[in-house]
Amino acid sequence: MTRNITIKTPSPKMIQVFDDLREKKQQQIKKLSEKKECTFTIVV
Amino acid sequence: MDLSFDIKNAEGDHVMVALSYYDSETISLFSSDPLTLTLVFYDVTLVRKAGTGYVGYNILFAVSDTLAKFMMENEDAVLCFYCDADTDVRRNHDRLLPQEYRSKLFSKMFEWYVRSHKLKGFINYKVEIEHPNNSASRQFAHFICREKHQEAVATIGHLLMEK
Repeated sequence: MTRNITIKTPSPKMIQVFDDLREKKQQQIKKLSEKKECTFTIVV
Repeated sequence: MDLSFDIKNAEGDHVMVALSYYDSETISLFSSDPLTLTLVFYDVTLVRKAGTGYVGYNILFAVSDTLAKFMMENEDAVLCFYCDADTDVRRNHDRLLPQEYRSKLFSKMFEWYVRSHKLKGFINYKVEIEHPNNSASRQFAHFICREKHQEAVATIGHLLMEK
């Protein structure tokens, strides 16, 4: 089941959380972009 | 704890999937509710390493399968998928922002998977926020959890919505 939640006027706390999520995402993207290969490979 | 997988197909597509743990100190900044502190939050990141055109369906299903197996093996896990807005993504619908397209695709992948595997007991919370000073700037994040944990996840949402 998918539940959709839209927040038109997010609280400062909510904005901060999303900014933190964004920062974590950027760090992870950078890490993965530099990684050549992982320990586990799935071939489909 | 970080976990990462390569997923490849015969057509030359290569996607890297990573699960990265949010430490409890970070979570406690958002919520001190004891119910939420029993959960373990993981960031889910996907990076395309090779391939042109649209990512093959078999790759997308393999991504869903990997995440589903992770959830099955980790009782208290909550997957967090923040939809990146900074990297462009190949899409048919140019009117959609990259983050909006990623969000729609993620929800579609979730729905396809639970339907095809007749899975019950999981919820995909899709949260969209509009920036108060810029209505064109929209952010999307998904939180996948077990139904039995929905109250704890919703509690975080309510706490964050307090002014």
